[in-house]
Amino acid sequence: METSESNQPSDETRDNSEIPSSSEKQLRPGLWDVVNERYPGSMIHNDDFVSMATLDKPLGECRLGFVSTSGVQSIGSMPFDVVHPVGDYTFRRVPSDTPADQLEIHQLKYPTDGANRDVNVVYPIERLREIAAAGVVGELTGNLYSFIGYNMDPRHLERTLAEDIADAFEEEQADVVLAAPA
Amino acid sequence: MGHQFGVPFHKELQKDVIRACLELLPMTSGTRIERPFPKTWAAARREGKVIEQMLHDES
Amino acid sequence: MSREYLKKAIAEDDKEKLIRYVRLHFGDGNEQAGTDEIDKAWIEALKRLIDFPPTNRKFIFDAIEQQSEETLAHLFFHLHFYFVQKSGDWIHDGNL
Repeated sequence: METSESNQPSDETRDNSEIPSSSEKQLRPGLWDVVNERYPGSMIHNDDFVSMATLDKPLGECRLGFVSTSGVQSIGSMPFDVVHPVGDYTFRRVPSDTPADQLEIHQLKYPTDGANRDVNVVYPIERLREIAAAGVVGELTGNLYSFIGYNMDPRHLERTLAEDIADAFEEEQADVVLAAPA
Repeated sequence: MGHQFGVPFHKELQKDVIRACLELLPMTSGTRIERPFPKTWAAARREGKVIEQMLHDES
Repeated sequence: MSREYLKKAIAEDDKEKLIRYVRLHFGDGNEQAGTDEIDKAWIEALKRLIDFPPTNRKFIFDAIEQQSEETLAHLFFHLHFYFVQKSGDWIHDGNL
């Protein structure tokens, strides 16, 4: 969710040449070119970076949050809208004490074979609890978060979903948030 | 894709990935840090298969 | 394709861009796969009507009359995936 507010080309003017593809930044050179060919204008390109905040207390005293684009959600919650042609800009709260077998995945755009057998490969809720119990971090936020990565309006995502999730973590008084793609 | 924290049932690997991320935090003086994870996918998959076989044998 | 890109295509009535997007969406980024998926959904729908089964036409007319065009459009996308899934030939990795 790194985006730029300034000097951002409009979506329709973005093309492959504007997508960063230098080998030193891209672990899989050419990947963004392929994505941009399939979904023109859907990539977020940032010219400016927001500096990561510096920790002001030991990690072992921090409250850790987690957010993922995996579409993992509690069984019984409204399934993510995986059919919508321009994406779903909502998120789900997953209580951090939710048993792994009470989670399900609603997403079509990544291989879920591994995650269907062990959700921790995309949404490591059990491992996060173990890490907190071991004192690596102080505790987990009351809820962990999830949304789906299929969003065809990066600007809308930035200004609604990303802001909503950031607000939610503020309310959770998270000190640190681990964000993971799927 | 779909395996950001390793392979199924490999609990230590999954925790190692999280720990590796968290260990970067005290170093965040700049805007971008990339550090290769000290294990290859081939090794992770091999270990995962052994773990799954063990779980299968136990059950 | 981004929403802005699609809006521009709609404004310019660029049908090629629009249908290409629909195919890419249904085909998880593969246009030909998306074309096949569209065919698959319609074939599955056709199969279910071939022997004159009773259907709830009142429900259909009520839905069309009572629901917004946006809801019906959303349902249209849902029905596509529903019938693709019913076909048993599910090319997608995840769940609806």
